[in-house]
Amino acid sequence: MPKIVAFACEHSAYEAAAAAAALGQKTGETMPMEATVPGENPGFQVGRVGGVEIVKVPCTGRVEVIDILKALEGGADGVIVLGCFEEACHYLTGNVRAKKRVGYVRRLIRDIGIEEDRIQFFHLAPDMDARFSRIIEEFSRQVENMGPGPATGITVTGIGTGAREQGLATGEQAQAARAR
Amino acid sequence: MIVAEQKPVAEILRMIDGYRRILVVGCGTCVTVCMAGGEKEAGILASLIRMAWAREGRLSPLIDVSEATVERQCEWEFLGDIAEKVAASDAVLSMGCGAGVQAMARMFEGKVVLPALNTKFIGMPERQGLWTELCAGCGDCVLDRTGGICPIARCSKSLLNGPCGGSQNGKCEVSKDIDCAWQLIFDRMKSLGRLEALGTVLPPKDWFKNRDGGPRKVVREDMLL
Ligand code: SF4
Ligand code: SF4
Repeated sequence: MPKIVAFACEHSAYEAAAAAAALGQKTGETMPMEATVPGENPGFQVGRVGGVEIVKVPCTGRVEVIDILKALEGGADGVIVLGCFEEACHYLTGNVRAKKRVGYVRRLIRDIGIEEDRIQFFHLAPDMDARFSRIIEEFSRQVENMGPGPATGITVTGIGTGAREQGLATGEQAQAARAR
Repeated sequence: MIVAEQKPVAEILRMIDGYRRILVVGCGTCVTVCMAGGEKEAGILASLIRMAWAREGRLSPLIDVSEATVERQCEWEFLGDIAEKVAASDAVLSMGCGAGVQAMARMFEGKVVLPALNTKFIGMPERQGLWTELCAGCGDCVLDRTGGICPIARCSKSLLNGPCGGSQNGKCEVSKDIDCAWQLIFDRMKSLGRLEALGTVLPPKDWFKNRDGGPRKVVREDMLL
């Protein structure tokens, strides 16, 4: 089974996933909820339903472009963002934004030659455990057909990942620069 | 602020072709605000490059694509802190505006510094996700005579005594999506009760203050050390 990461809104899709897990519609596994995603968003909780990694988010509007890319880079073969139906977002328009953002990331990965369908957005309501299972099955099948994902395996070594460099250069460096 | 947008990824990939250790450098000022080259965007671009290269089977322990963001790329004072990372890279991909790229190119002698953005203009966000040009940096501001609306940057013909005959229903003849700057100026002067001022013909502009004699300089004697 391909490796799938699902960002799920806690007000809808996450409930659906939990219900699906409880009903055993997928594999019957219950979802352990202690783990956290390291790195970018220490606040996200992760669980599993079947082979799918479910990342619980307060709203899909909270999912950033970089979160999706990091999931792919980190080894996911496909990433889905599961939000409330339009008009049903707890925060009014978080799901609409998330959907647009997913469209943006799809274009980004298409530009570098990666199948855009590796990233998709779906709407769910909390009681839609059956729809959740169907989405996962269908998506897994699609992703499987695409072959392995774009995980890099490149270790980002010493020269730093994303930390904002602030403060002053040493006086010498600044002076040397000015002198040039 | 300076408004910029990212170059197409394909163009960036062509630019860095042949280098193995890339440092993507974001800038924490203008381009962060216009969402083109801040910390977030640097992270996104670095991730895309890594995946693109992985796709091409370029994986090797020698490959390194990482990112760092400085508060302001166009000031030496902020560049010192990334000196080591720059030294460890083959090429620096700047996500600052043209000034940022050039500041780094001067600071880091002997290092290839490449632009990841196209620097567009001086402007402001109209609303979230939309920026418009407001000032062309002409060097001799006339906003006092035009109700605070710039005819150089916002009139398609940079007319000083507009509108031209093409102004229709408030729109510019160049496109129905462009407001006629001179209509805006007229409306604004009217609301300011200064319409009669528009009767004064503006003299030709002193373009010597613009693109004459190479790069322009601003000097403040009292601030020089
Ligand atoms: S390099 Fe300077 S001018 Fe350019 S975006 Fe950064 S702060 Fe603004
Ligand atoms: S008149 Fe010149 S300086 Fe003033 S806003 Fe227009 S372009 Fe900028």
